[in-house]
Amino acid sequence: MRRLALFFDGAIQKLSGLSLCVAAAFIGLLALLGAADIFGTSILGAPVASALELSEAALAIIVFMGLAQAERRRAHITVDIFSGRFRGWAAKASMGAALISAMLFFGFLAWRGYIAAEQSVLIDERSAGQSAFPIWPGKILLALGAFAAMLEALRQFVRLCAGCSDPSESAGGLS
Amino acid sequence: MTEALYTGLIAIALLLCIAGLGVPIAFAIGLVGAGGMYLTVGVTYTIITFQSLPYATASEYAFAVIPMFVLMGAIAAASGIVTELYGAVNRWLEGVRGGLFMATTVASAGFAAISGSTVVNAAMFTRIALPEMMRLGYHKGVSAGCIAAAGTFAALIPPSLTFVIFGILTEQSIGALFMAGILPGLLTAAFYIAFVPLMVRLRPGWAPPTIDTSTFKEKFLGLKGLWPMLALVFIVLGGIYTGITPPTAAGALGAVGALFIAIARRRITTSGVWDSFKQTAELTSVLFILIISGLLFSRFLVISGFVTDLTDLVINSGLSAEGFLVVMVLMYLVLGMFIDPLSMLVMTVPFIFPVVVGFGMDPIWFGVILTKMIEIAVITPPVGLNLFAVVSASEGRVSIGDMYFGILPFVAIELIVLLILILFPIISLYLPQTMM
Repeated sequence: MRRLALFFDGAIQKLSGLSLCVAAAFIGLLALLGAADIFGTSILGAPVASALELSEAALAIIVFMGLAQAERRRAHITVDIFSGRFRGWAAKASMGAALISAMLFFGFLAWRGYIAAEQSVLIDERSAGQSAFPIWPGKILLALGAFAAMLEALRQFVRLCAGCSDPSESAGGLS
Repeated sequence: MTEALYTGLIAIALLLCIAGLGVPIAFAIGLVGAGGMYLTVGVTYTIITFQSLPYATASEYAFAVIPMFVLMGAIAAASGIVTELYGAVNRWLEGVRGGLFMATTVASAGFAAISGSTVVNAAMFTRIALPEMMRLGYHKGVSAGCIAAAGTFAALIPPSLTFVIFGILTEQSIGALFMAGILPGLLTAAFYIAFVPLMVRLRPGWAPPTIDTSTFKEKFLGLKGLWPMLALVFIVLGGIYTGITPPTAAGALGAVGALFIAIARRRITTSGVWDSFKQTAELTSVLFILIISGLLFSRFLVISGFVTDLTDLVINSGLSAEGFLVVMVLMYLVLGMFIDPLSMLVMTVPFIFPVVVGFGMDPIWFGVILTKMIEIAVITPPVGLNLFAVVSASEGRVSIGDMYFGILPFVAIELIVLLILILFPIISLYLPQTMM
């Protein structure tokens, strides 16, 4: 059982890291696309085809693929003026409440995102731009990103229940 | 009081309680908004909103301005542009008593023009400027206060994340908001510089006697360090002002420009670039989840009738627009003692903004005033965010007690500037009105 838990712990962390790498690659793409489009439009008189629609799809991928790692690093903004003073069981309860709310939020987002992606695939939803490329991959990645973030919150919650002082740590610290 | 007002007030109180327990603001706002929608208009509307709003928000081209400006700031910071900027300004001002306060102010304003985050700005100058100030015998509390206060220029001088998020939440032009922030930002910097000689005259112990060690040639050659920053400012703000580039494209151009400059000058490694990309992606996710949650909450407040009833209540209460502004200033000063600026923005704008419009105030001008109030809030003790950013980045050199003392002169200057901006809206509105 412990080995299985350790396996999932490591796998979810790898998934978070991998998702962030995808998001980071799209950050580079978004910057290059935006710059190339403005350069093409202003200097060469030839904009990049469907640059706007591609940028929109890239932005959605960045937002949702970066979520799991943000959750892993507890980067979401928290008002810790009271909770920062909690010790012992109160600190654990506060952390538990934060993780349960994260699971609920991301779970709901993943669930509705999955439904939206399914409908998008069924109708082969495409962008309204010049080259009409499919936008359902972006919607699938939304659902996947939110699901990965939910799994990351679940991983931390299990570690919290298992008595780890810092549930966001790597698998080696699982007691 | 109407039922809608009760519902909204209960939701806001619940939100504050959940957030106070340590639940991240984004989840607290999103879940209270979803719960409120479910109770007010039922399950169908709630799930349809959750199904459509997140993707629609995250795939809006205009909002891509956020990652682009974050990336530009990250690359500029990683490539040493800021250190050079500070060095160049410092050489010119080292012959003036209190020159390092002025140099920090000028360089912070310069960095603010390529970075949108007040905390990043404050933390960066704590590492660059504070050791030098302390080595030369400047008062550590006032030095730290100057750095924390000057860090807030990033909220007003474009590209400002505060303006972008305000623009998204209120559907105002981000380009116009950027332009509106320039003169108030420069005015604040000018006030800081003008007050430094007065401060060191009244309190000579705050700054040591001058030591001008650089020759004119060294000062002149040091100006070379300014060109990367000036080039980026020219590309970004010039493009937006002239209308050649929309803010998103200007951000992309700025980010790629910063990257080219850093690579051409061999100031960044491949891993540095990749780290900047990853850092930007993570921050983008955090900011967008906050925005999406804010929009969910906002939608709940609108459909529950709270916004309409609150606007009617405030406008018919006999409170004047000026009285309303005074209440706003006090509210944001108090809130800013406990809540970080972006969360404060997302939590309050959905119900404050309709009242502002109801009073007939200019939305762009109000955006500037709101940003200024938030700016003051993040440096107001006991819990200003920038104060903690500086204390933690100082690695034990400055205590929070030193900081509380040192920030007070700058809070006073900020309040004077706020009053001027309220009395003379043209300072904020001149550039947006002349924008092409």
